[in-house]
Amino acid sequence: MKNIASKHANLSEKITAYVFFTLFIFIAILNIYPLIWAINNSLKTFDNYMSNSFSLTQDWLFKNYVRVFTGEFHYNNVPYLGLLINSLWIVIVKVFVNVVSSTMLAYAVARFRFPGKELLYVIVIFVNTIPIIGAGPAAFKLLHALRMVNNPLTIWLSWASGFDFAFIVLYGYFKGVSPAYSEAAYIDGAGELVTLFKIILPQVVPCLVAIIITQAIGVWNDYGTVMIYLRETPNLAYGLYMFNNTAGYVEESRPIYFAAAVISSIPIIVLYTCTQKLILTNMTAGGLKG
Amino acid sequence: MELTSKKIQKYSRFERRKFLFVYLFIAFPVLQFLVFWVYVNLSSITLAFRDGEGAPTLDNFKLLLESFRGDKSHTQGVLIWTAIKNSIFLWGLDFVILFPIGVTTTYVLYRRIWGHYIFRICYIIPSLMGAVMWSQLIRYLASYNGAITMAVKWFGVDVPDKQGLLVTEATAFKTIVGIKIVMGLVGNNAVLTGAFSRVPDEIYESADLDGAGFWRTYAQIAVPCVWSTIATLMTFSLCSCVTADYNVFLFTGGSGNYNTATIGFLLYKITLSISESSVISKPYYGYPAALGLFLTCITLPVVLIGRQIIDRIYTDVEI
Repeated sequence: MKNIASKHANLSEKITAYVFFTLFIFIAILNIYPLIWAINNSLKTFDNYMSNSFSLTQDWLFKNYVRVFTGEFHYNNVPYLGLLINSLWIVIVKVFVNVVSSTMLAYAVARFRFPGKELLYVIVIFVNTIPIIGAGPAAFKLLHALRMVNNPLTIWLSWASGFDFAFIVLYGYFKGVSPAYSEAAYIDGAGELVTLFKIILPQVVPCLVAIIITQAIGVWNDYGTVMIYLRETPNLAYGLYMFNNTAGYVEESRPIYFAAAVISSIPIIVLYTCTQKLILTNMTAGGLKG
Repeated sequence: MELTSKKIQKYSRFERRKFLFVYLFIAFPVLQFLVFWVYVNLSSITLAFRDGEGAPTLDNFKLLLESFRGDKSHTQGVLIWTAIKNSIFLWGLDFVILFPIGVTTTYVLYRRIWGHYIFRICYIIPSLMGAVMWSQLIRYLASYNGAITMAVKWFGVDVPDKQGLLVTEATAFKTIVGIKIVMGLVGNNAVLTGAFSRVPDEIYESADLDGAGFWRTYAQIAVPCVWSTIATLMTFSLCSCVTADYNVFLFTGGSGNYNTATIGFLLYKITLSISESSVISKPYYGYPAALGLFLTCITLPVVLIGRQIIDRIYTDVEI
């Protein structure tokens, strides 16, 4: 495929490339500036931050990053490390139950003929494309009645939805794996589970990894669910929100806040940078009819 | 005889064993769906028609209508209308302007413009940082002495002293729109790049050999080849018109006289206040459920018509 900016590009393509390149640089600066600004100010004293938040830091206070972990950043008596651990377990559990549930449903609907198969597919499309809104209060009422609010041991049941976007992506992938593979496995005497785990799943691993990473990024940054359902087990996103939105917030803590925000972002930025190609080539969905 | 009786059975033993496996396999997701989606939504509808004691009533809807009938001093009515108006505006901006631009910019990046790898990372950084951190940083930058405020002042926009862009009624919603435009110019990058990369290179190469220029290849080759993905994303965009933009909650908390409220914000705020009040008292679910039902009723036809239009122009391209 010809590169838009290649040596062989004609004049109109070169003009297009220059126009878009300028636009892309402008958007990139707007997108990345807040992070650079936060990193710069996380290395300042509070006085220097207040006197000029745009100047390059002269202080290089890397100890602000240490102070994040030594108790100066906390929410509701949960230290930064506690918030980090809560974020980690919420990501692991939420992504795991969701991906397992979606995989089970997508595998069955994509690869087996059984009564109700079409209905299930139509329901998934309906749920994902028709906006039935305002069920938040009813969902809270149910979870409250089931004692699942602020209960990490049971809340995961509400996260294990298989009828979401992951289904649509996985359904396409399972459909794409030739039936010849499973037929050959059956002839060799493999059961359904062996066929799934040893023949089919290995072929959709890149797609599964892409889904897991994109979901993990979303869950890592999810404050909404935690704010409503898991307030007593705050994660980093919720902790960061509450840190400077509560009455006890001290203005002098701003550089510490920036340091905490930067630390929280780094694992996710590194994860995405390392897996960008995998995500970009495996996250696709199409052909919704139903 | 035995063979004949087996033939008249609808399904063979092999098939029945398969059914058993399949039904056991889907049992958990289906049960989860029945409890946490079907029951919740049915419960939401019934709650709209019940009072605090659980008795049938239409009072929730009467209250809702009264809030609309009231004059401009009726805060709840003004808030709901503002939320509907803002959501429609933001959705229109997203669907009609930003979405097509996002498809084009993704294609240009896919055609490997200089620095495409770095650009993609830069564009995803706000999403990677998360709504909380991103919004807090923007709030600082849009405060009265922040970089964004200073930049817009330089362009002659009047911002009251000691007030930031996101807390001033005249500028708060415009700032939200500006943020959405910057974020949306390169939206849906991951899914669309995945779709573009599935189009075989040979197709682009033969278009090049035939002398098709960049834009012709884009319009007549690339877009038709990934149309199913575009149609899917458009359908999702239609569906999310009512739930999107709840992150306004983080940017403004509805400040500037609540003129930045969106439907997503409103519904999130209601659920949050129920969650907070449940600690000290029994929350009242009827009115929020009625509001949700009302908003569903007014948005559902729009979405269904939109889906019909997308389905009509949808044609699969075999590649």
